[in-house]
Amino acid sequence: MKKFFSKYFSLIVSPKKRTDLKKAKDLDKLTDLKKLNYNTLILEKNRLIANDNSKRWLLTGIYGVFYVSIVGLLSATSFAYIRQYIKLLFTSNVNEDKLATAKLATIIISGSSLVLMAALTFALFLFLKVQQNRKELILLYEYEEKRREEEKNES
Amino acid sequence: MNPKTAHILSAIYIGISGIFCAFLYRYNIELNDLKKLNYSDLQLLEANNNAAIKYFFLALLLVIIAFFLLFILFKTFSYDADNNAKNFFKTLFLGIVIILMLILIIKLISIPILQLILRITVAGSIIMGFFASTSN
Repeated sequence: MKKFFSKYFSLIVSPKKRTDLKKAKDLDKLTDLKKLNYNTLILEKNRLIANDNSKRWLLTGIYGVFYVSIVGLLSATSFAYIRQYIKLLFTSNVNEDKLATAKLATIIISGSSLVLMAALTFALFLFLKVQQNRKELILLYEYEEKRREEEKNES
Repeated sequence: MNPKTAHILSAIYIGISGIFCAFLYRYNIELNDLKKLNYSDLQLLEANNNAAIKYFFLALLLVIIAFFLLFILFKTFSYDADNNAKNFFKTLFLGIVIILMLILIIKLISIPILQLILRITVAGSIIMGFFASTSN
């Protein structure tokens, strides 16, 4: 458990370690691809390309539009609540209880919006990262295919 | 993600949410006792240094994290089914426990904290809306 935490902590703090890990993973994948049968390599590459069609990018685009509209709505609502609460603070003859209720409503609305916005941003990041990894994998398959073809031509 | 990492993260989540549920259950009893003493909604929310609001935000965070964890487990699920039967059952078990924890958190937070929060939010919105209409 301690080893697990120290490994992930060092990965979080050090960008160099993250790059090294990514490189090591790519090299492992490349070694695995070298061991693969030529026909299996082509079949897997085709399957990956078929999965990476325009439909996925369309979905990413739709999520992007959804993200922008939801984040816009949440930030505008929070901003309106905070502005209205500040106005209320500077208004004289306001009941203490009413002021406390408005304060709590502002905290709840802006806090929930902040948490939701953070989650949506993380999901967008995850979505793009999955797409990027898939693209990198296709490039590795293409590299291995080209290498084998060159090897065949040389011999 | 590595299936082992996903399992460790899920186990940590289950532990944290279990502790959270125990504290929340105890606080719900405390809130019900305060309710019997005729405390107002505002006083109930502000009791124990705004503890109800802190519980609400923590519950929201845990629910969101649970969805991400379920997504990660779902991704490793198909991988495990092909490669490792032991890991497959571990993933299935952790997924079911996370769903149960999610249901428990939602059930515990909805009565009475979420009810109070909704009432206060509606009241606060009405007050601010009223002041906005009279100040313009």
